[in-house]
Amino acid sequence: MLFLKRQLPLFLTFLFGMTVMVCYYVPNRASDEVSGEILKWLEVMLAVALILGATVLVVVHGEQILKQKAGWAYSLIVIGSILAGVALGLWENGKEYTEEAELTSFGWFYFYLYIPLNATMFALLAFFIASAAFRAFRARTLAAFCLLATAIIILFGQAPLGAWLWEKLYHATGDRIPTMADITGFMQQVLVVAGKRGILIGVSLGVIATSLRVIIGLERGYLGGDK
Amino acid sequence: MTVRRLCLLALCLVALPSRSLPQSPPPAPAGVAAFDTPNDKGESVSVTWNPVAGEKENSVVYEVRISDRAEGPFTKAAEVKAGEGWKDEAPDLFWYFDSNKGVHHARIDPSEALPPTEKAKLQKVNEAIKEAGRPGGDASLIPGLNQEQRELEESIGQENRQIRGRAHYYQIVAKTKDGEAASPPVAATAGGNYFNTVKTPHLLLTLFLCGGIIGFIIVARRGKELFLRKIPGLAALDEAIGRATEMGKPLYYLTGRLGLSDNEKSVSTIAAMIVLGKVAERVATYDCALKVPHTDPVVAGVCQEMTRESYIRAGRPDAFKEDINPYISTDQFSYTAAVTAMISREKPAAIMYFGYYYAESLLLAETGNSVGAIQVGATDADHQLPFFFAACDYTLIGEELYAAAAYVSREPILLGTLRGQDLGKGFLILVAIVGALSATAVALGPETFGPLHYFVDFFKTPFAG
Repeated sequence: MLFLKRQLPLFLTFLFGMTVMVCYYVPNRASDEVSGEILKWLEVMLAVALILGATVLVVVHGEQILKQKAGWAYSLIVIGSILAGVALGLWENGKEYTEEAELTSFGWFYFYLYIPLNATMFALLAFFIASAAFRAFRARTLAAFCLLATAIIILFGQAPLGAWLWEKLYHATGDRIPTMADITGFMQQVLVVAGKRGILIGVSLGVIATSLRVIIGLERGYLGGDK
Repeated sequence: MTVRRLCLLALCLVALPSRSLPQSPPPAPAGVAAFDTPNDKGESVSVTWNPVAGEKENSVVYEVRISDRAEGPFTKAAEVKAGEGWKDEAPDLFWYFDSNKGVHHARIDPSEALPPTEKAKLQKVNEAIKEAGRPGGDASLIPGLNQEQRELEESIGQENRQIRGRAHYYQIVAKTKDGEAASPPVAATAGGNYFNTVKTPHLLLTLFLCGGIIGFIIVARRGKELFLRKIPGLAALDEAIGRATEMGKPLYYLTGRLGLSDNEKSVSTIAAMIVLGKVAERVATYDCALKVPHTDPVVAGVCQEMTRESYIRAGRPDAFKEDINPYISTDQFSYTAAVTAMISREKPAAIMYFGYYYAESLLLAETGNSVGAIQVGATDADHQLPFFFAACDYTLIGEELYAAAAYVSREPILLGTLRGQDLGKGFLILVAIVGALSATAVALGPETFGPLHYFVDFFKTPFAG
C-alpha cells in the first residue's frame, strides 16, 4: 500500500520530471516524440479528472437539494444548467450552427446565456477597479504618494487631453522639457520593467527550488501528506 | 577643326570597348561548407560561404542549389542577396562566436531536392503529422490522419519520406548581371543532435543553482541553524486563523486559477497546495472552519487528501468534512461568480489567495474586502500584484509565495532551499552588475573590451528563452 501511495508516485515524478528536463536539452525527433507522448498522457488524465470533477459537483449539489440545505436553490440552478447544457450539446451533436449558418439551440444557449453572463462578470471589474483605486491612491505614506504621483502622470500621458496640454507646454517652453511620451515611456519601460524583472527573477528561483524539491522527492505535500 | 574631329574620334575609340565588351562574371564563392545544422531536430542542413569581393557594389545574388547526386542536376533551394543572410544572425544555432561574423549562411531543408509534385506531397503529409500532434513521427501510425492523407503518405514512398536522413550535395552560385560562377559541390546529411550546445550556459546555470539548493539542504539537515528574515504577510497567517477562530466564521483559502499542469506557471499552484497543508493543520488545531473552493478538478482531489492528512496530523480527524474542498467550475468567471457569491453569503473572517491569478483577482479580493475579511494575497502573477496590494491587508510578492511553505513549517529541508534561492539571487545580482558594466565597456571601447561580450552573451542565452 505504501508502495502505491508513496514510492511509486515519487518514482514516477522523478522519472517523468527528469525525462522532460532531458528532452529540453536534446534536439531530435525521438526526444520530441517522447515529450509529446507524455503530454498526451497528461491530457488523457486531465480528461478523466474532469469527469471526476463533474461527478463530484453533481453529487455535492444533489445532496444539497435532497437535504434542502441552506442555498439549495442555487444548487438546483447549477444542476439544471449542467443537465441543460449536456442535453442540448448531445441533441445538436455539439454544433453551434446549422449547415445554413443558423444558431442551433446549443449555440443559442452558449451565445445568449453563457457569453453574456461571462461578460457581465468581467464588466464588474470596472467598478471594482474604481473602488480599489480610490483606496490605493490615498496618499498616507511616502510609498502611497509615489504610487499616486506615478498613476497621475501615466493617466495624464495616456489621456488625449493630457497629451494635448503637455504638447502646448512643451512648445511654450521652447522644446526644453521632455515630451510626455518620453516621461511615460521612461516610467513604463525603465522603472516598471526593472521592478518586474526583479520580481520575475525571484519567482524563477522559487520555481526552480520548488520543482527541484518535487522532482527529487523532498517535497511530498502534493501526495496528501509530508511523511 | 581637324584636331577637334581627331579628338572626338579618339574619345569614341576609348569609350566604345567599355560599352560593348562583356564584364567578367563574379568569382566562385570560396570557403563553402555544408553540414548538419547544429542544435536542430534534424530538419535542415546549413550551408556557409565567404562573401565574394565587392558583393554589394556588383549586386551579387547567391543561389543555394541542391542535388541528390554530385554531378547534378542541381535545383535552386534558396536565394541570398548581398549583405543579407549572415551566420551571426542565428545565435540560436551558432551562439555568439566572433567567427560567425562575415560569413553567409543559409538553412536548407533537404526535401527541396525532391521534384515539385513529391515535395508538395511531403509538405502536406508533414503538416498533417504536425496537426495530429506527432511532429516527425511515422504517419502510418497516426490515427489523426484521414484517408486522403494516408494515401498521400503511402504514395510518397519510403525513400522520399526519409529524405532528411540521406546525403545531398550543395553548391553556391554567385550571380551578377554579367554572369555567374558556381562553387564545387559539397555533401551533407541532416540529422538530429544529442545535445543543444547553445543551451550549455542554461544547463550550467541550472546545475549551479540546483547544486546550491541541494548543498544548503544538506547543511540544514545536519542541524545548522539557518536565519530566516521576517515576512509580515506570512506572520499574518496565524493572525488570520486566530481571527477566524475568535469570530466563529470560516477561513477561505484559494489555490489560484491554474491546474497542476496548465503551463510553466502551474508550479505556483503546487506551492499554494503545500502552504494549504500547513494552514489546514493549524485550522484543525484551532477548530476553525475551512473552505477551499477549486477551479481545477485535479487540484480539488489532491487538496482533499492533503487537508484530510492535515486534520489527522493535528489530531482532529473528526473535524474534517468532505465539503471543505468543493470543485466549482473550470470556467474563469463561473468560478469567480460562485466564489464571490459564497464570500458574500458566508462572510468569512479571513481569506487567503495563494497561487496564480488572472482578472478574477480583483473581483475576489474586493468582494472579500467588502465583507471585512482579513486578506492575504500571495501570487507570482506580476500583473495581478497591484490589485492584491490595493485590496488585501498583506501581500506576498512573487518568490515569497514559494518561501511560504518553508516559513510556516520551519522544516530544515525547506529552509535549506530558501537559502539556496538566496544564493542564486545574490549570484544573479552580481551577474547583473558585472553584465551591465561589461556591456557598457563593450559599447564604449569595442577594440579594447570586445571579448567582454562573451560574458554578456553567456548570461543572455538562458534568459533569451
